[in-house]
Amino acid sequence: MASSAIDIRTSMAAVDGLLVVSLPGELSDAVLNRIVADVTQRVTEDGIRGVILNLSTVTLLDLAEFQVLRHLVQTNEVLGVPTVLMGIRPGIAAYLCQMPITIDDLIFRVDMASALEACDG
Amino acid sequence: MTTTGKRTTAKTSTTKPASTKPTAAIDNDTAQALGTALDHSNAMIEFDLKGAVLRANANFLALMDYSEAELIGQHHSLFVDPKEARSAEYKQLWASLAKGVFLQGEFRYLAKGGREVWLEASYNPLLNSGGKPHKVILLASNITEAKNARANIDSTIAAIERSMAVIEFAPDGTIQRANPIFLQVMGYAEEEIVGQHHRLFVTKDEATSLTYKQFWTSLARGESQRGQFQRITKSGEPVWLEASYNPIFDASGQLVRVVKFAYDITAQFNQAVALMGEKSAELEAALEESQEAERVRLELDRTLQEMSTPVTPIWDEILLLPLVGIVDSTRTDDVMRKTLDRISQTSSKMFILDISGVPTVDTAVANQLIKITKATRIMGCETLVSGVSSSIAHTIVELGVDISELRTTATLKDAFSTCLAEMGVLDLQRGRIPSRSQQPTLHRQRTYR
Repeated sequence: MASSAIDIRTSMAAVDGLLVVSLPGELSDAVLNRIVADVTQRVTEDGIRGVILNLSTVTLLDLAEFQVLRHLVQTNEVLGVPTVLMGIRPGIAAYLCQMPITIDDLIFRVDMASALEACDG
Repeated sequence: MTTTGKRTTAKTSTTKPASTKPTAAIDNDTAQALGTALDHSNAMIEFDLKGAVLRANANFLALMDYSEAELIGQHHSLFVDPKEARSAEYKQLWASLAKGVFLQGEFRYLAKGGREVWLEASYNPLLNSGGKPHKVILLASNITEAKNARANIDSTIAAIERSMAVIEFAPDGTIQRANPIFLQVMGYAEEEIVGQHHRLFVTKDEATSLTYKQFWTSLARGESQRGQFQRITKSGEPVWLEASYNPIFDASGQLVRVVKFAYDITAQFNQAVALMGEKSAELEAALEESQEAERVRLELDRTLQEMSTPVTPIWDEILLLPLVGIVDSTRTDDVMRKTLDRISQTSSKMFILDISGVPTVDTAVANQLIKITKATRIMGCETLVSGVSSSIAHTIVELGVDISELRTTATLKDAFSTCLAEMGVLDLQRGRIPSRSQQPTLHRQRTYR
């Protein structure tokens, strides 16, 4: 998965101590695992103070994939880095709200500006 | 053979009386045996030269339903039509028999009660030792059935020829004959087409096609073909024939010709085509109409939906939906969809769902509201449910709905001020607009490091 590894690196940018990760439109398990591994590594290495997962281009997200993301958020939490899920699309939101999941421990933001604000707050 | 009652002698042959003396070559025993054999296999009756019955054998009696006693002495005219019996020809018959003339052919006899019997028979005048005829022996076999069958077939064929177009081909497709109906349909005279090939009636393209070749090879193999065929008349007009091509075999199973029976169905065909055109035009009109109706209905639906779920931005990044009337699951689905879309479009951070116009809230609707709240939160937008009346509040509590996920206020005003406060536009405590840096943290007071 060399090509997807390159994709992931290019779609990850640290700005002012905030790591902005843009997830690709179509997620596969391999890609997702790679992202999780990369993000976790960057968080520990670079002393990042917040992570923003940009989901605005993701069109499909099933429950398992969502749980992987939640796991990533919780891992970051343990590492002391808050994580914001940003730009989830209406379709995915409508699907996830039907699922038996709790979302109280997650931070969602509608756009990048408010996501940045939430990290700075 | 006709059935007019006239005796028919199709193959009448005559032999001079003096020249036939076969008995001369046969000895007595053989003659005896021959007589017995004939007696067994044929109907036999003997007349004198005037036509009076001398004797008849069992076969003849059975065939004609008479007993011998009834017949002896009767005249031959008993067996023929009275009209015929009076005719000159009939008299002529007996005159020539009396002269010793041999006669053979197919004869129409009447049995007892007038039943018609066809006989393949020969009148054999017997000569006495002086060479003079002294009696006549009739040797006959019954051919009534074959005769009737033949007549049946003949009239069937005649009926077909009268009503259908008929044409006959050699196995290779060369035209042998055609009946007037066929000629009339195709516009040819018979001499114009006899000897020509069938391809005269098809288009050039078809004549050279593989299908056409196969058509004749399968006919030559003895397979009949039927269907609706387009053929070309002499004047070049297309005609449609409902036709069958029937291979005809001789007694030894050899294919001798192909007979085609056809109906001209051009008129029906054209009518059907016209009708189909008409029908399809009608159908098209109906379809268009229904499509138009569907479009109007959809438009109406959309407008109604739009009206029933007017999700409106009332402030920067704040959406308001005043819900009025009965709320059911279809409606809440619609609310969810519309709201999420609007949040996505406007990047709104707060959403006020005002239910002051909703008369009752049951468990299902309450759960739907919770789901909407959850969905908007996943998108990053907080939902406030406002306008909860005291009765609805009671109901919700009584139903035991878990409202920990719901943020509710009594009035729209309360909800609006909460929103503004949370957006940092309004400082509720100090009643002034705070600066951006003093923005309060968002819902559930998460504190980051």
